[in-house]
Amino acid sequence: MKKLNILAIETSTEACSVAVLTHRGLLFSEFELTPRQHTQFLPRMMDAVLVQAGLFKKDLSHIAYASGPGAFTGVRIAASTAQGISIGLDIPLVAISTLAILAQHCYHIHHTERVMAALDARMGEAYVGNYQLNNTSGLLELDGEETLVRLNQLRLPEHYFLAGSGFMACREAGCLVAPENIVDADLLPHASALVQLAEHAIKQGKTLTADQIQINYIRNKVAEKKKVASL
Amino acid sequence: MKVLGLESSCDETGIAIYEVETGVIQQRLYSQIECHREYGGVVPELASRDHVVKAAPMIIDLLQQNGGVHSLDGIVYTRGPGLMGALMVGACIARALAWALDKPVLGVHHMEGHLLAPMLSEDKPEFPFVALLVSGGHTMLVDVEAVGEYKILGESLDDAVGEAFDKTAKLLGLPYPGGPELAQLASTVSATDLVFPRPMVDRPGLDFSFSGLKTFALNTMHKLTPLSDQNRAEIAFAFEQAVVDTLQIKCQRALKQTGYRRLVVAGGVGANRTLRKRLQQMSAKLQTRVYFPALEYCTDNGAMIAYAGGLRMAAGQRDENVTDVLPRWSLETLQRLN
Repeated sequence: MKKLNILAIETSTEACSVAVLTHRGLLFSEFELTPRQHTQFLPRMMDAVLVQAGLFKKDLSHIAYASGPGAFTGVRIAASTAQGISIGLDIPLVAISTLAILAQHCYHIHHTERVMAALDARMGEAYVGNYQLNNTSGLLELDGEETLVRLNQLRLPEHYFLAGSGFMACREAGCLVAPENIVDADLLPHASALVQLAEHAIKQGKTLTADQIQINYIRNKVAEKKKVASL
Repeated sequence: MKVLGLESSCDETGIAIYEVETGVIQQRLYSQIECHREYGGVVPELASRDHVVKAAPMIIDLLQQNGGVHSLDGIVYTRGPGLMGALMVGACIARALAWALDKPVLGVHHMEGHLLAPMLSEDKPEFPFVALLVSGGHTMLVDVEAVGEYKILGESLDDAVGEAFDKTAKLLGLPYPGGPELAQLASTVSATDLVFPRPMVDRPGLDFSFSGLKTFALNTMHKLTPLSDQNRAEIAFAFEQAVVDTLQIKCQRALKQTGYRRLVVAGGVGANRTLRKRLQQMSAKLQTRVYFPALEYCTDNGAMIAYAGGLRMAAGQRDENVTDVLPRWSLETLQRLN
């Protein structure tokens, strides 16, 4: 069996990040703000983390990707890139929720054990999920479901830290009632958190093949069905 | 040189493997028509969502049957023109595959794929030729001097011809995509008193305009309402005759203007029987030759992309592994292949 060397790609927002976690437990990552240019940066960033980690492509055992919710095209950039790598290197994929990545990254940055992660979904809505620390794994886990919520109907749970662009949208819409010290509306998901969540998922056997790709858009109504014209 | 080609510019997922030296081509094609039918047209976001689900199983299957992923010498994909999100799926899979394999990658112009599709037949046209590209997204006449040496002689100023077929079919109450259904309905009659205009034929030049025909069809329907089945069939017939006449007149004009003896018809509307018959009659009269791609290569497909990309890659062309998709991309900017 291959030693565990995981490459992780996150492109669900205006940020693009890549990380690698080696079998020795070393983590290397690259992060850039590259709105609408993710595909131009990805290959370079993937090469960079491999060089830093001293790994060859053939040493990789898994390819992890942020599987949404987020910008539709962005989410598909990570997913389809992961598919290409999976087929080329014959390695399994690992799909991790973008909200879980955001929450885990928030825990790394702010040491917050309870995080309400929210991403701006436009049109007055946000993708939202509540995450809590599991002391055994040291990772934040989803409490309940990830949902699409209207900004003015967002219920803020007590004792939760608020992270992500969803709260920026709330603030701009004038419906965020929370003290500044429990909000980080600028926080973006980061592949370093993705790769750690992926390691845990792999140990639980949660891997996919390229033809089993999973994307969780949450927003699934993207067009109106039309009536057939008649005369 | 053996290349894998990916096409995902609109609502067809096409995957093919082409071996340049032997000319052997294998392809898989998935059409999303069912997925878009209830919306009455292609929904770009749904098209993208479907590509990302359908492409990988087709690639895996095709590779398993054809020597595996390590037998590839390069990856080519449709870089444009087309729907941004849909193109992105094929581009990302292709680039990532090339990255993983350390193999070259090249973005292909979708319309060049169509132009060269007749080369996949036994009976190939020689250069130079005039190409009539007719599909749901495009209508153009192109002077093809050599691979990569293209000059657009004329194009549609509004609706593409396939689009006009689909829209008129929709007015007639035919199910999406409608074009082929309209042609089927038209074939049930052989004459009508209805006379539709032949847009822009009395003006010099090789441009087209088809949106007026659709409006003319609508006005005719209003005049005849309530419509009988016979009325519908005659409208379909008169519409198709007007389109086919117009295309034939412009093709004849393009052949005269260029002095070429060969006409190549490509794109989905190239499957239309009435058009094929009319252009063959014209060619017999003018003592020119007309070439049609095999029906499977008329619609969007991976084979034409693998073929065009394979030719270019065999000639040494490569992309850096950082390029982006080009939803708008002119044929005339392509590099000539020597």
